[in-house]
Amino acid sequence: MIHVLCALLVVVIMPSILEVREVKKKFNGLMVLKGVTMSVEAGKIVGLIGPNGAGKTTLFNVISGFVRPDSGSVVFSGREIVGLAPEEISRLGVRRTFQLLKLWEKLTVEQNILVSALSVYQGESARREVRTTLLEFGLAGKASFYPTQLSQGERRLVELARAVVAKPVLLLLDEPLAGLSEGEAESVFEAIRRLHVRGSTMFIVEHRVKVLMRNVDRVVVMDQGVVIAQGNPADVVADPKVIEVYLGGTPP
Amino acid sequence: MHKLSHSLIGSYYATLVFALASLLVLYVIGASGTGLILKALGEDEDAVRANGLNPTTYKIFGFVISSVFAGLSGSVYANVFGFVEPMLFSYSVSLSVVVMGVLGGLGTIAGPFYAAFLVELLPPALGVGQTEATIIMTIVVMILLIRNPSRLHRIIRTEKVKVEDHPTKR
Repeated sequence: MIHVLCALLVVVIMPSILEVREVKKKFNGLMVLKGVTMSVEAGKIVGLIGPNGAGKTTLFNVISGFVRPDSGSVVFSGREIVGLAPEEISRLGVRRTFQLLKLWEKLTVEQNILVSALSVYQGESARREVRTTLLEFGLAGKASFYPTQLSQGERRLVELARAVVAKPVLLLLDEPLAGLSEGEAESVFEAIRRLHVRGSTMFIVEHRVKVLMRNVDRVVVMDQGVVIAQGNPADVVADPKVIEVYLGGTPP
Repeated sequence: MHKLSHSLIGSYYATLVFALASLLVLYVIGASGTGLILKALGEDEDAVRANGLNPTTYKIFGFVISSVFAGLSGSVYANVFGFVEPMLFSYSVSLSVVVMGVLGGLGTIAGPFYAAFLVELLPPALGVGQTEATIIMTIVVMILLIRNPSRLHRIIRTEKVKVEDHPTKR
């Protein structure tokens, strides 16, 4: 009984910074999201995994305002954000990165980060924040480089830095490790862990399940437009539904 | 005769000052934060929105700036030639402005500046008439757009990416 009460207390106290409820989305007659309900707690790193076509990126697009769901709600910090424009959601403190990087190739590394900083800060304070962020991400030496002159790992870091400079409350990372070598992936995750220590909340879609599982507090598994499991990584790996999705009984 | 050339020289310097002042203003805007945002907007609008900036605000700003310079150019033109009429800015004049931009390079400031000299001075130097120049310039624009369709190409590519982002089949 005490246990149940404690558990209940934890649930009540643990504040969800993001609540997705019964989100549905249909594209060309195909249900991509069939009523997704999940949440992200403040200060946690939550992973989102699932096979191709599970609806992970669509869910990200819904949360960040790029796709309007047919029904359902997305509540961020107690505020309904469905129907808001991407830039409004971004300014509320939800920033995202893209699976296919969207760096501005004609701007330098520093300018890429500055444009994002200008959405929150003005003039000299924006430039100051950019310098701090460049140092934090070990990009100070590459400030005047153009994105094409960088390695894939550095490009990922720039996109991450661009989102972080605005000090978001919640960071949505869409496959931050895609196309990276082991070493590069490790340096990106190092940056993610550092942000976590600082108190950032993160929601990460990632295909490299093993690396992800080692680094997240909680994981959400999607398949065919629904959430099939969520919980701490150890429990989720043991979940029969998850094992079945990840083919042939081999745990992810 | 003497008086006319005197006023022509005056017009020349007035136009020169206007051109240099325009260049200066454009460089200042280009180097500013707003200029960076406009460049970013030209490359990837979704990334601008994801980073908390409203594209419409900056598009309107860009539109206003362009219109201001077009308007001022019109008054300089009127000042130099002494009269204006609606047919003046018909196909050939509008086209040469587009050629200056495309030939010089969209998104640059120095490019169209040099291209303007080329477009205005080359046809008379080669003894080409107004009609022939218009035909040649139309062809030049078409070739440039086919060979280096960077903007158009990017717009089409972004649309493709958007579609790929949404899984249509499992």
